[in-house]
Amino acid sequence: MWTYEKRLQYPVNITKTCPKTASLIISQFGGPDGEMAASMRYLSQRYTMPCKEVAGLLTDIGTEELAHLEIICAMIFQLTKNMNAQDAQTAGFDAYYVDHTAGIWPTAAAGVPFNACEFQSKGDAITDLFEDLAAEQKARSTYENLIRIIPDPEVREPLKYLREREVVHFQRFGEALEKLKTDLDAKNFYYFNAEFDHKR
Amino acid sequence: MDFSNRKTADSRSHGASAPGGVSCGCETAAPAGTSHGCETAAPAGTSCGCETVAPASASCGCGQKLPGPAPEAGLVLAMATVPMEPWENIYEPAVALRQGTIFPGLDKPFYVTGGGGLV
Amino acid sequence: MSERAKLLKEIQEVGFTMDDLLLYLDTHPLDQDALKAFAQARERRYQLTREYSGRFEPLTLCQVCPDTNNKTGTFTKYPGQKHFTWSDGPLPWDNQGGV
Repeated sequence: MWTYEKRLQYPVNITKTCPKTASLIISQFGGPDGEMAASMRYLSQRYTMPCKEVAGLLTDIGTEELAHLEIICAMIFQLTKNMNAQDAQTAGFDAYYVDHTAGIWPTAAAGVPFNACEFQSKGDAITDLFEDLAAEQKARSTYENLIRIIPDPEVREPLKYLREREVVHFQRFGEALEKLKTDLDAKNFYYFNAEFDHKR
Repeated sequence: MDFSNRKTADSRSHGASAPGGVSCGCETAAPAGTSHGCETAAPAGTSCGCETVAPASASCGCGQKLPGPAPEAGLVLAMATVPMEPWENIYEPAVALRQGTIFPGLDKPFYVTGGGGLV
Repeated sequence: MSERAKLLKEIQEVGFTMDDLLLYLDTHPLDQDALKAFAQARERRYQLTREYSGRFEPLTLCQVCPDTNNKTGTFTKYPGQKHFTWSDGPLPWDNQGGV
């Protein structure tokens, strides 16, 4: 189960209203390569992981991703909390404003609402870890895309932090893959699905 | 979990195999992590891929070069490998939070926001 | 930076050190250097959070102790009254409090 600690993992202090920026970074909340997708992906995959230590890692990284989506939402909140009706009409934000006002709702920058199609939990330990490795790279690329086009340091600093966390997570999932391999035959890793073909 | 069947993998998919689970399918088996010492080409009808050879750091002693790392202990065909991170002296907490990791070896800045060492 | 913000920043820093060590130890459970660093960080964090929740608001439910929390009466609707201190302090996502 989860406990909650009443602080952000990384400080966010944004002093300028900018719905345009909010409409871009919201992708890292509810978008296909965002923190909610990451969290749900890892927290879903962990149940049937045959290796306890890998299930533990998925739980811990999945939990950290919840802390990251909280950082993204804190940024969106601070960027839009002092918005007036004029600000809300900013191109890129106006359609979202119509449906959500200044409320925070998980969606991608392109407008696709968060949904489970944005992640996979395949039930195959090797496949799921490659899904996770790919997810961390996609998230890294997305943060880099945001950093390139958002010059405000108050917004850039948390984005830079979150990008580096993706690099670290990628390394850990790579190490988890090595752990899985030790339980399999190196001559043929695909001989059976460790999550299904050998029941406990 | 019991994986007792895993050692009886289908023999048709492997030639001689080296300890450490690395097979190049050649007639000769190599100790793990070393070249397989294949001075001569594999017998007709078998292939160990030894028409080509890995670059010097992972040589198998035959003719040409592979364009990348050859299979060896820890690097297996049809599978990716990320090396395990070794322990190193970690950043002080204030630096770590700024950089996004306690591990200098994983500190990989993006050119727009870093790359000139610690900010 | 206020006293509260300074102390909270130290907690964020040592908390983050523990978070990153946690993931490393998940994949390197026998690494003695990492275990030592984890123990040191945990001890430091314990000291900092004890101080913080006495002077300011509790950060976790386990730290909620209305008799001893928030002696400075910072960010509370009920200064001077015994109350449920879990709601003291600014909301984490709101920077009106500075950090």
